[in-house]
Parts: sequence; C-alpha cells; structure tokens
Amino acid sequence: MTGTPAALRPAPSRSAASRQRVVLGAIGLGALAFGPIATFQLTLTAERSEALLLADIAVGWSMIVAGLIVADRRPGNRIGPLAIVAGFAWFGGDFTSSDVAVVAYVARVFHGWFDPLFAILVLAYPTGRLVRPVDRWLALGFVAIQAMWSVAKAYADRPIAWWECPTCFSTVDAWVAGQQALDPIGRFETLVLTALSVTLLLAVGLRWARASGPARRRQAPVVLAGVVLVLGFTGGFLLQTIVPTDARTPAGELRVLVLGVLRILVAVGLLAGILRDESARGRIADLVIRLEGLPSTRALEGSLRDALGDPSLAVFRWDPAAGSYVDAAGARVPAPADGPHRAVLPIADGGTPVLAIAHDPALRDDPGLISAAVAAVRLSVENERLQAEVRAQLDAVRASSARLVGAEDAARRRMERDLHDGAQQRLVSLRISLELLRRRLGADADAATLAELEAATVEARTAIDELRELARGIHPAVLTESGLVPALESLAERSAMPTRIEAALDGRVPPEVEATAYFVVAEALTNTAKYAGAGHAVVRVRRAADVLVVEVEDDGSGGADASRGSGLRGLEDRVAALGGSLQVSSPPGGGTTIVVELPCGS
Amino acid sequence: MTGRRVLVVDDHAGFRATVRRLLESDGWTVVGEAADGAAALAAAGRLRPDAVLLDVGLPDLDGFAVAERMAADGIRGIVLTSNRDEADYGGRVGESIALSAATGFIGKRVFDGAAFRALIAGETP
Repeated sequence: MTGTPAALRPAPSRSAASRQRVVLGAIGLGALAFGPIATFQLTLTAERSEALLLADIAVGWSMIVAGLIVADRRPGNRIGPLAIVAGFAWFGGDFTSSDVAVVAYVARVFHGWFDPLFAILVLAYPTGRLVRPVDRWLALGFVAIQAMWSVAKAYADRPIAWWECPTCFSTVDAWVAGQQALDPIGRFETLVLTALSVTLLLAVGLRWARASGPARRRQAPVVLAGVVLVLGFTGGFLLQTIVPTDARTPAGELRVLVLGVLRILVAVGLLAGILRDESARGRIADLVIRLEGLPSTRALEGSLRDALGDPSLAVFRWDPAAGSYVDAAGARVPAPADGPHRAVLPIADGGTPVLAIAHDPALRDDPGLISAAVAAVRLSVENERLQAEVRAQLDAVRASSARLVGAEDAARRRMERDLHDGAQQRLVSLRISLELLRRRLGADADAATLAELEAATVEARTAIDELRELARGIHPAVLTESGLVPALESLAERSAMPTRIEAALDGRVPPEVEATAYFVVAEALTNTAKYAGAGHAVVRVRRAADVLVVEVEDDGSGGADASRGSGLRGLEDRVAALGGSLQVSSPPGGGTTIVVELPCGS
Repeated sequence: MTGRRVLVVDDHAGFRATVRRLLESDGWTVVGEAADGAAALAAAGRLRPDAVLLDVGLPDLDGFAVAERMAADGIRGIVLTSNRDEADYGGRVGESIALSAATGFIGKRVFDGAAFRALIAGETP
C-alpha cells in the first residue's frame, strides 16, 4: 500500500481489508480460469488465428486485472467492480460460439453488453460516479439501446423447443428467418451506438482540450476509450452495411485485433490514471505533513502548488487588523473573486475568514483532490488556532501555579513574622513582667505565691519555645533574614547526620525559589537520615545562568523509590509550578542523589 | 562598670516599656528610647549612652547597620537583640562583633537583666 493517510480514504478495518483481498483474489483466480474457457469457445464453430484468440483473452484479462487493482487500492471507487464486470461481460460474449444451444442463446442475448459497460466505465472515470448530466444521458442511452437489442435478440433468436433438446440449434430455417428479422434492428442499434460513441468522444475530447496540466493527462485514457468506441461501432456499421463481413475475414480480423489492442490500452490507461490519482493523494498526505503548524503564506502557496500541480495557484491570508486579504508578499489585495481563469476557495475558521486560495478552474474536474487539499489546509488552520489556545491556557495555568506558590510562600513568611513579632514578643514581655513581679515580691514573699509565679514563668518560657518551633515549621526565619545558604547551613547543623554544604551562590534568589529549594533539601536530608543508612550527606548549591541548581547526595544504600518520602512527591508539584525539575537518582548500593533545578531569572 | 546610662532602641513600644522597667529594676538609667534606626543614631549622638539595647529588626535601617554607625561614632556597649535567634542571621552577628560594632547578641526569647549585665561587664574593662 502507499503512504496515504487513513483519514483520506474510507479505511476499512484490518480484517475487512484482508477479507476483501480474499474475495478479490478469488475473482482473479476465477478470471484466470474463465478467460481460456471463454476464448476456447471461439474455436468451436470456426478457425481463429492465434493472434485473435490472444487479443480476446488479453482484453478480458486486462479489464479484470485493472478492476482488481483499482478495487484493492480504492475500495470505495466503483470503477474497480465496473471494470471487473466489463471484463467478465467480454468473456461472456465468447460463449455465442458455444456448442451448447442454451449457452449460445443466452450468450447471444447478452452479447454486446461489454460496450455500454465500457462506456459507463470511462464516463465515470476517475471518481466512479457519473457527475455531469451529459455523462448520465450518454450512459443511459448506451444501456437503453443495448437493453432493447437484448430483448429483440431474446425473442428473435429463441431456440425452438430447446427444453426437448438442449444441445440442438434451432432449425436452420427458423434461425435464418430470425436473423433476417433482426438485421434491421441490429443496424439501427449499431447506428445509435455509433452516434452515442461520437457524442461521447466529442464530450470527452472537448473536456480534454479545455483541460490543462494534470487534468489533461488524467483525461487521456477516456479520450482513447472514446476513439475505441467510435472506431468499433462505425467500423462495425461500415462493415455491416458496405462490406458485409465478420471477424473471420482478414480485414475483420485486423479490425478486431486493432480494437483489442486499443481496449487493452484503455484498461492500462484507466489503471494508470487511478494510480496517478493515488500519487496525488500521496501528495495530499505530504501536504498534511508540510502544513503542520500553519506555515507562512509563501510556503503554504508553494506546498499547495506542488500538491495540486497548479503553478498559477495563489494563497491570500486575511489580515483582521487591515480588514483585507494580503498576498504572499504581504501586500494588501482586494478580496479575490472567481474569474474565467481562476476559481477562489475561501477558508474560514468559526465564521472568521482565514485564507483564500485562488486556483486554476480546471482543478474542479477533480473535486476529490481539491477538497482533500482544502481539508488539509483547514485542518492546519484549526490546528494552529487550537494549539495557540492550548498554549495560552497552558501559559495561564503555569503563571497561575507560580503565583499560587509565590502567594503561599508570602503568606507563610507573613505568618512567621506575625508569630515572632506579635505573639512571641508579647509572651516575652509577659515573662519579663513576671520576673519584675518576682523581684517586687522579694525573697520573703509567700512561698505558694512564689511557686505560682515560677510556674507561670515556666509556662511562658515553654509557650515561647513552642511558638518558635511552630514559626520555624511555617517558614524558617533564617531563610527570610539571611537567605538560602545560611538557612541550609543551619539545617545542616540541626541534622542528625554529618552534612556538608558546598555553596557557590552570590546574592539572593526570589523568596519562593529559596523556600522551595530549602524544603527540598530539608525533606531529602530527613529521608536520608531515616532510610538511607548514610554516613554523611553533601548539599551543593550553585547558580547556572538563570537556574538555581541544588544537589543533595548521600553515601547511603540507594534504591530509593517513589513511595519513599511522599513529602518529596508533594514538593515535586511545587517545583513544577515554578517551572523547575526534580530528579532522583538512586541506584541500589550507590547512594542517592537528588537534583532540583529552579528557574530564578528576573 | 563605668556607666549605667542605657538607650533602648525597638520599634515595639510595649517591649520598650517592659524592658525599661526591667533595666531600671537592675539599676540602669534608661536615658532614651528610639523606635527606628535614624532616631536611634540621633539619640545616641546626643545622649552618649554607656550601653545600647538595639533591636535588629527596625523599620528603616537594620540593627547591624545602626550598630556599625554608632560604633563609628564612638558608642560602646551595643547589645543586639531580636525576636529571632542569633542563628537566623547566619554569620552576621559574628561579623558585627568581629567589626567591634556590637558587643554581643541576646535573643528576646531569653532576654534578662543578668545576661545584659554580663555582656556589658565583659565589654567594660
């Protein structure tokens, strides 16, 4: 298969696709067997040259093979099944020479259906649909005249009492009489078919002449098919009326051979056209990739020119500020409109114009291709807008998280200050007042009073100490007063494990960054002391450009996992909110290293 | 002990009042009070106290800067104090003492007359 993305074709499921391949394979095998059997029929009633037999089998097979390939590559396109049916109809015609009367009769009745199928095939090419009214009328005409002819033959050619002797032909007299009756009808039929073929050739020929570039190349096999039909019917008409003959004369045989070769060429041409269409779809797939992140107008223009094969294509971008379209060079242009030599496709996103694509009107002949290209551009436009929205939302969320962390940190600092400067200060005053009271009472005061006073003093001291611990837990004062490094040194002093601080940090970093780094180190040292069985730890602090890097390394047993120290997990969120990162490396037996990086630019 | 005249510098009026009663109870004469660094420097220059109890956390200048400028002005017996602990200031208390600006530090948490007296006594030969 090609690299066409699934979105651009009706994508059957994998099993459905393989089931379809089995069916197509069976049809192929059937055709392989059926072809020679059919061609063999031709030899039953007359001598045929090998070339003619070869041409006969080649025409049927080429149609069926082309149909099978198209059906495989483009499962949604009716060209495939139509070509397969036409191929079998071709072989079916050979059975007019069968020595079984019934078979020959049925074959004669349906003989000639290859041509209308062939005509519909080329009219419906390449989409598999009859789009233009003229095409529909032509197809209807071919089918109608052929149906009339079949009915006439069914009656005139009917075998006599064939149910009594299925292998007997009609009596020669009756058969000759029937043939004579049929003859004028046959001529009329050939005449009408010739007229239809000429019309078809004119229609597709004009279309071909008006087309340009890829559309023209695409139409070539259709024109050839028109030529084949015209040659076939006019030739048949001429030979029937002027030089009555059949395929057994050298002239007739030559005509059959030439037509056979041309029919094979049409089959190959249709196949090549559809496969080229496939490559056009491949170019659309490339386009989808090239339009990733909506490129500049000029690049978009170039990509679309390549994909659609239209060097005249132009892209205009709507400039909302200017209120007009601008071209690839950035110049304002009036709103592009349809004209004799260009068609304009506006692309809007949610009611707002975004782009206008001006292209060769000939591209309209392949609505599938242009709509796929427009879909790709639209996808890119919408993608771009969605990405911008997501980016804006993400930025807003990041900024909001960072603000939350900053606000929380500020609240903690304020609380710490309020505790120290407010409640603690008043408790200190209370303690001093109690001391002054004790002095006033003097040594000879009531012992119970003195004891009560002493108890109150102890309570005040305890309250002061507890308040200090509480304040430190909320926010270490040393961090506010002196910054990260003294705070870490104070942490190291209080740590149960020998801890060395290696700091290369001048000046201060934003308070929420200091606080986050401090809490990460505190948590890491707590975990190390609790679980790692480490002898000592080292804390390294440095500032690289606008990033504060803090490492905590211990010489413990390593093998720390995520479940250990859920406090660190919580801090990871805080680190992420500030746009930083936290990595834990803890190979078993190799100690644990925690690295936190925090942006601390202005 | 050559003098008993002390200047109290603290932005908290309640604490100033309490500590004044304590120091007076210990026999000090509180010659002045100041609520910020600028007022403290002015008062010290005018009053020439024998000792200064100086809060680190002042609204304008910090206590270390005030101590340095007072010392440069020839004031001795400067004792730093704070609602926070000495360790919370990293090495800055030690630096101040090393610069002969401050005589010592007593956290308010543990402030009492005896500690203040001991520091001043250690300063005075």
